[in-house]
Amino acid sequence: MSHIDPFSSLTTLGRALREKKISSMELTQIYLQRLKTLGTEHRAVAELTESLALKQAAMADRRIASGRTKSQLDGIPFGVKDLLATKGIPTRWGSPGHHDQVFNYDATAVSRLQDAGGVLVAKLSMIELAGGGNYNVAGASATGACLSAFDKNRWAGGSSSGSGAATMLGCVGYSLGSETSGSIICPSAFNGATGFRPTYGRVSRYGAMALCWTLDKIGPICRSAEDCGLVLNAIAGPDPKDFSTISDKLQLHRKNGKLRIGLVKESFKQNKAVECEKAYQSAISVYKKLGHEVVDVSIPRMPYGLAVEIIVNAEGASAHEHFIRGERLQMLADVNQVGGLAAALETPATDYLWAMRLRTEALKADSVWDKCDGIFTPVFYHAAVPADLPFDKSFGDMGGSEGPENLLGWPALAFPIGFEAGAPLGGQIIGPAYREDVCYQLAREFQQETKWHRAKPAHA
Amino acid sequence: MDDKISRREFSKKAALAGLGLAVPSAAISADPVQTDVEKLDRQLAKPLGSDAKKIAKDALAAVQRNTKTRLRTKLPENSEPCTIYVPARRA
Repeated sequence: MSHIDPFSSLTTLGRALREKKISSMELTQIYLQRLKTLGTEHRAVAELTESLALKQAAMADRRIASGRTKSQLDGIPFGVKDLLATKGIPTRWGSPGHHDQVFNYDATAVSRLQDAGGVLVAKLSMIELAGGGNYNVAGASATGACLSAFDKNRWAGGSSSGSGAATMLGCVGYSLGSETSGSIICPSAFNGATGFRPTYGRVSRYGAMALCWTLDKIGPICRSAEDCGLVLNAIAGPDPKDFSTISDKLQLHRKNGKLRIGLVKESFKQNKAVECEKAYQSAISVYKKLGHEVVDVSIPRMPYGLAVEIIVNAEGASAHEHFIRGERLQMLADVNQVGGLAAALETPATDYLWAMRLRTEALKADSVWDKCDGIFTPVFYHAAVPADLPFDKSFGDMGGSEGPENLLGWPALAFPIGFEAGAPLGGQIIGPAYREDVCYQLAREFQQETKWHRAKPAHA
Repeated sequence: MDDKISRREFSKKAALAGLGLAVPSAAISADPVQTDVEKLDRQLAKPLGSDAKKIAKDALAAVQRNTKTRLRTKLPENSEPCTIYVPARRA
């Protein structure tokens, strides 16, 4: 079997395939083997899709041999969060109560990757029902607590847990995750991955489990911003099956020149975040060295978090009402989810509509983009939390002030900016709606100057 | 006094009890959230276990607190939610 670093960039993997230094079949077998060992040890796998993967790899090899390569992703194995429908393969949404669920169609994001020649090797583990019932333990999943790629005593983050861990364990070329409020950004930070939450509507939600129709986003979790760009380009674009998709063309490679990076007020001291502050200041130095301007900014204070909570309760309870009222609710792994989802049924319509009206009012926060092009902030003030402690005893604050980014559908790109006791620390660039190019440019330039994103877990 | 009631009266009382209107006073909890949880529990296919019921009570209290908290943020009178209905064209 040919030798290739399973942590290679997508550009390197694609070139190796096209130059026939390795076949897609060989690459697929390497990743399948790693999924069976490392992926299983870290509980990152919900379902291996071995027979489909081998078939898709054989087809990719035939295309490559005849010079009819479909895209730069042709022949490269990938995994998807188990929230995305895959034809004929179990899609359990991380929930023990959905153990026998199988769809007869593919989610649009999955079919677009397969149309680009991608090889689906695994459905990746996730928090049950994407955590809509306010989960409080890492084990809130049909597959148990998913463990961080860098430290098996720590949690991999959620709800796209397996996507973050498997990507940084070198078990897949890249993966897809989803975010309602933090579910791409958090596992990216806790695993040292680079994750791209696109603008709301940029990627079709068709075939994705709905937690919140008005907040859910699908995005790539990769090992670099450049890889995220390749994957996002393949999955973005309007879809007649999802009316919320936007028609604006994704343009990641605009010539933006020097940018203004906004810094919001941080709470390092209150969170005793010495290492995080060091990493954050060091990242700012990198940006200054690159010639970007750094400016202090503030976002109008509004109860954004409360609005998100109400929307998650109302839309989540509605989307899953049949399940919540049914006998299977109590099969969920985390009792907090059981009680939380049941109570969410009682969210008043006036509360929900207040939250949706607050979203209109929150558009005032767009004024921050008069002063800066993108905002840089830590994802959390700490590295991944212990896997065996309830979150109310382990989680600190998220970086920056509680912002409106998810309410307003702003994109963000999370990437590692340093380490704390052997575990990665994440930073993120948040951009205005439709301006993924700003996030992409700033994250990519940072990664050209630093090596944090290239760190590999010692045991992988 | 004759304790017997007519079949019609019995049906009426039973129906009212089903609506929660004729519950014996001793069964009414002094804790309104607890009453709400009991009511919610009766709507589920399977009664909640004691742990889940306790969490549901806390979560329900949080839902009710959210209503009070959000009222502190006054929105412009008559402002529209971010999503409004758009009539679909026939394909």
